Amino acid sequence: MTRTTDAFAAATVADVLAVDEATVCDAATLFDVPGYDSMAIVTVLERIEDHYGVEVPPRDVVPETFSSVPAISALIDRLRTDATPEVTAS
Amino acid sequence: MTTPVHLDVFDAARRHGDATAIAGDVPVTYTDLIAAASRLATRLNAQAPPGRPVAVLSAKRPSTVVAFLAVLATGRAYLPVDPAMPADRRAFILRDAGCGLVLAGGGDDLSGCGVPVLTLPADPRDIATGDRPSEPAPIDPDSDAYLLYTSGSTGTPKGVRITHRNAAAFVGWAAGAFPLKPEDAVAVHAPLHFDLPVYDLYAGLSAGATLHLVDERTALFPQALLDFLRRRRITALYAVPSALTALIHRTDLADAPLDALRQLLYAGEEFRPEPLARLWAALPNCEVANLYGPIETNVITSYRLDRADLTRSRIPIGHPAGDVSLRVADDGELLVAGDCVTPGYLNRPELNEKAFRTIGGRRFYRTGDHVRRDPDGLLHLLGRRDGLVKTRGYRVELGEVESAIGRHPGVAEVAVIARPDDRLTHTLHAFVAGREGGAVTAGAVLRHCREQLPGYMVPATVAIRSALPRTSTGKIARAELLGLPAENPAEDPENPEDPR
Repeated sequence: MTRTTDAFAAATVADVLAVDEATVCDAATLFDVPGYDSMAIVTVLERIEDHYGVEVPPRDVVPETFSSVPAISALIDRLRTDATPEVTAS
Repeated sequence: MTTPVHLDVFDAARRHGDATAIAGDVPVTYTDLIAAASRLATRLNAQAPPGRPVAVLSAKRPSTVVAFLAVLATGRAYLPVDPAMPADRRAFILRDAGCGLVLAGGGDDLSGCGVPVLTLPADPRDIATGDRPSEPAPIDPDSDAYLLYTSGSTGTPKGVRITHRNAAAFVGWAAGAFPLKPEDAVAVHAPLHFDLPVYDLYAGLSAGATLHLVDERTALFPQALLDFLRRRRITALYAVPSALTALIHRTDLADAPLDALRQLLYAGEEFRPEPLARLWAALPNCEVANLYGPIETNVITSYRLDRADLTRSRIPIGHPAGDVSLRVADDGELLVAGDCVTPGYLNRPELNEKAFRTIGGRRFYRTGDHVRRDPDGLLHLLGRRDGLVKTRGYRVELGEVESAIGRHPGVAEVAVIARPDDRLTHTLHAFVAGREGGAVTAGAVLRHCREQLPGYMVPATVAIRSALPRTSTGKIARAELLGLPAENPAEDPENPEDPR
């Protein structure tokens, strides 16, 4: 996984939950962070889609994929690899 | 009255002993379930103060079901507590209800709850192994079976007492109207501190069916829930429309119908016909019914849908459930009397005075919902009184959210409004004016809310204003706030709209 997707994942989750990035990065699982509910998850997901111009398939909208910053980062890397040659980051 | 609900389960266990009561990695048979509950009852009789409720941290795990049955078997009432509830609120509820003991799981953090904790092992067969089983205690039908806390307009949650007579009236009616069979796979989807799963647990277990507990994480992800429903071949599901609507978005439901599902019940909020039609199209063998009733009464009307109902603009709430007496007051408010109606709120005589009305010597609960009866006798919901809204199937008093935000030291003024939302019924939005010289931020208010309120009561957005708009009479101009655009929770200037 790349540093940039890691940083983006951490910043996005922290922003949506209105907490600092350390809270998000240090959490054993994001499900323990207050406010990480269905609305927050959908918000994170839509920001990833907008930023990277990718679509998260239903198969990936499951707990394993959204449980931690590295897991979200790995999802982004996978989607960008799967996508056609050049993906424009907004 | 019919038999207390837990005694029906004890009875069923005699007929279905080897059948699976709760499915999972380690299936729990009916024999295991009742043996564990009977041993735990002995332990509770030794450790829990007599006559006081026992709180149960109600995570979706078999030991929670064991705990409910054990507490009932001792003749005490249980208080299911949302495991995700903020610690302060939890402490308030435990104190308000006068709980003498809390039952929890191994990993649960109950520090500062102020009440002794008894930790239960995950596998029911390991619970209270040193204790001999006790016979269920005799039950006074008008004693409390369980207590459910709901949002209160004055800033603190209020406890609704449900007696054995209340519970038996609801479960007796529901098990007759929507019978379950031993071969049924019943999903327990709604949180256990809510009134929906009362049907799943007691109608399901007294029928000898198998319960499938949908854990909190699975319930958060529609695709994960769908996978669960498919893998477990669920035949009966009772859930709120917000959760069901989520099943048609960002899932592969359209690729493979849920052909095992035969019964879908919903309650808690209105299900709009368009999303319901999309869902039902993927349920080829399924009957659908709309159940309606506030937490104080459980279900009081029901309506079995026909696919032709999907062309209506709104789905009716239907006909009275069982032998409840319904009255429509002159102003359209629906009133209800009957065995299912709570005797009242715990420790809130002033609320009880307002919540009930005596007509012709009978005590009627005022639902706060306005209805009309059509020429066919069908009841239709028109709307709710001010200040009480539904979001994700929960009911929220806006005043309670305002009161919580108002406790933040940096907040001078606050108004919380509800905007209609296609998927969640309503979303909550807070408008805050900070104290002079202070620098309260939206993020700080949100974090404060999460420490004070359950997740469904935390506003989706918080907007900081220098002052709140006023009407000519000096009240906060809520109508104007409703027209104002929502702001992003974290004040990100690049994403001014609340994304969903």
